[in-house]
Amino acid sequence: MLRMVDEKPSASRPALPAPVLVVEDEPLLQQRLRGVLLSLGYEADALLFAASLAEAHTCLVAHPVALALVDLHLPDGDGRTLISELREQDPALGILVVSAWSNEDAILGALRAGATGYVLKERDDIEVSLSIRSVLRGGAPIDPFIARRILELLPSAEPVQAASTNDNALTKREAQILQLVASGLTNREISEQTFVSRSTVDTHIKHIYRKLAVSSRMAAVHAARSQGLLP
Amino acid sequence: MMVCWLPACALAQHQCDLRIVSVQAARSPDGTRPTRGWQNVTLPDNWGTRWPGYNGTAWYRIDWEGGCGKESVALGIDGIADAGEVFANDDMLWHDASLAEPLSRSWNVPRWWLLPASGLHAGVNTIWVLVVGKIALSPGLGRLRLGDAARVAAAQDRAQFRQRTVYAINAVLAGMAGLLFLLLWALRPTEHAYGWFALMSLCWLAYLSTYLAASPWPWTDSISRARFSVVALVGYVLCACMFTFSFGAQRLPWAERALWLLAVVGTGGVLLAPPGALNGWLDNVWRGSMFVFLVNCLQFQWHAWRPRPSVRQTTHRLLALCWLVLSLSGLIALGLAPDVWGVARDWAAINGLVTITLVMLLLSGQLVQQMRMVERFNHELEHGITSARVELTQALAREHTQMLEHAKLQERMHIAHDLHDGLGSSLVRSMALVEQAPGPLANDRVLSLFKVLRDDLRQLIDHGSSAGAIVPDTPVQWAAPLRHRFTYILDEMDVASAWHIAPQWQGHPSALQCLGLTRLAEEALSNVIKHSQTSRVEVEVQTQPGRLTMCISDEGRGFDVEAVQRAGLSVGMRSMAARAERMGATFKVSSGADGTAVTVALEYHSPQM
Repeated sequence: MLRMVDEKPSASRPALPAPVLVVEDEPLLQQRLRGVLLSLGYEADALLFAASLAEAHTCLVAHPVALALVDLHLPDGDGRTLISELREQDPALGILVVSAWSNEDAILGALRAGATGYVLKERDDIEVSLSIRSVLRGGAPIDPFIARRILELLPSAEPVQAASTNDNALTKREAQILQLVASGLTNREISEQTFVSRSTVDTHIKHIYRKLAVSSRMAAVHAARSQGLLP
Repeated sequence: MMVCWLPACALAQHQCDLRIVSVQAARSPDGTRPTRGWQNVTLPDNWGTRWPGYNGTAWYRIDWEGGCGKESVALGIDGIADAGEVFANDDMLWHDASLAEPLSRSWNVPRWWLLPASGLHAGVNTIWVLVVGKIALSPGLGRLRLGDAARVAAAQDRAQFRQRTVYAINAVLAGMAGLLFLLLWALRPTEHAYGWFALMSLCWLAYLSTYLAASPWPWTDSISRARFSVVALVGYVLCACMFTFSFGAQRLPWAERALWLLAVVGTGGVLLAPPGALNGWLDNVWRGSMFVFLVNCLQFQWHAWRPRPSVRQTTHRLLALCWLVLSLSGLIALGLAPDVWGVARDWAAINGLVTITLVMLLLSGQLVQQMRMVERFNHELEHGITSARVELTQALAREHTQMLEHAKLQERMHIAHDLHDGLGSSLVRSMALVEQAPGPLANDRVLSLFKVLRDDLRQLIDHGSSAGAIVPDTPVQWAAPLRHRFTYILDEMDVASAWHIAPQWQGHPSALQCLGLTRLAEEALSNVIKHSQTSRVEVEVQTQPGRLTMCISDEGRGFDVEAVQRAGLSVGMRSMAARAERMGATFKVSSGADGTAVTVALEYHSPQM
């Protein structure tokens, strides 16, 4: 068994961001996520559970959350709307998508709405736990295929042009990191190859996610303007 | 030679003071005015009956008296057969261009003159007409008019119309019809009726030249000209009969042969007859032709009108009517005037106009009908094509829907099969395992059973979505998600991992093979994580042209492969082997004290893929 699962929360570890909102309609899977979160060192009273978007909204009114695990398919709607609302309220919030279906477009859509990472429900507890921990550490889990898609979606900045001309363009370093992610390298391996620290790699990836979300928001604003919904 | 002299009438009857005293004729072998042998004759006159066999010159003298002296007197003559001179007393009024062979042809040319008043004297005056004629060509003098200029001129105008203009119109029509239908027939030789009608018209044109030609040209003498005319008539009748048969779609081979025979005999007789017998030959062949024509017209009435089961052709009836008019006119003419020339004249005029006009109308009607048929056919064809197209579209759409339904059904059956073979067999195996277990199974054992089921379901889903799945461009891209996922886990466990992935496929693996390889690698790595307690994992993918080898090895504690297989306990190993078999790969596990290695060798173009 994994040591990290066995590991008890220690006082030396920095305080876990709380409370955590879990939006999941299946009680058994709620229970599973509860177990994973408890094993990560959370107290039971720091966990908020919602089985629908409506419940999630009620929770959010009462408690601002520090971390959210969101299922995309909810009985009363798409989890993506909740993600974009959360992201709107708190740009630094960790949002992990716990999805049942490994549909590339659904995952990318969630990331564009502002999610920080995603994990598939069918994975073993270890993996779910790893993903949560990665988000907690301030990292941004990213998949090779997502990296490839981002490379296709976002333009690369010309070396001569200043970043101000196009805020959404990937910097040279970001593009390089995405290329390495696309080849299957982990953040550790990337930091070894590019001679930057792991946290810098994480920061880069978070920047990339933000650009992705911004580009999708800008596209939305542009679409709204062109349709006459915005001035 | 056919000329129709109407009985003379005294034009000047009501003019009390202008009177024809006598009309006389006398032979003159030397051409001078004879003093003896004058015989009283009636104009128009044909001397053939009076002086049989006489070829040469004759004089006619017409004595007249009276005249008011105030009005000028005019003389009109309908024709001189064949050439001649005209004198008023001793003044020459007119003469033909040639009085010797080739003779001028004045027999059908009406002319009129004013009599010079100075040459007239009180009492009896005389008109002298010199006539040069051949016995075979009905020699003689045509109708003569004497009276005041205005009346004679008017009468001569009518004669001009009747003797020249009608035939000129006839000739023009015949020529046009002949050329037009000759052209049509040349373009469409299968339309025999057009060809025969063209020949018939041209023969008629040749025959009409008898009435219109001013000289025997291109023949050197009048007799040859006359022979040619009758041959043209024979040709005309033959062509008319052939046209009738062809137009009426009649199959009369015997009649045709007989007609050809008659035509050859007639033509031969006319061409070869000695001058002495020529008159008889011309006359008989002419009558024979007329007779054949009448018979043909009458037989066609039977063909067109007789009761028959099939639908009668309107065009046949119209032609029959046309022929009926002609045959009736011919019969009446023959019956009323036994004189051949009289018949010939009316018949020719009527025949020409009626035949050409009506038959042209008929044939052009037929042409129009055929064009309408073509148009209707085109219309029907278009309609047919449209409806066929619609039917085809509908049929195709139906077929397409059926095929789609069929494909759906097939796909459902495939899915059902896959469910049964994959998930179903795993389920049955798991059930058997639980059933045969001596005691309650440990939770992790049950969990692993469920995980196998889950993996099988995932496999099924991947298989189902493999149609749209894209084969990664390179093995590096293929391995990237696996590498990413497991490196994180292994890092967490402080297990060092090394990935050696070939840069190129060196062949074309299928999407299904890629998915299968992924699942195999997942299971192998999961086993390493769960059981090996290793500190190092190595994943190696090597490619050779057309094949790929994947080896996942660890340095952990090994296991007794044979014992595990014998015990049949390792669900994971068995499912890995089954997977490898399904994708046509060889699967090998070797394990010992220094670690475990799982090797999969895959041929890209496996028949199962």
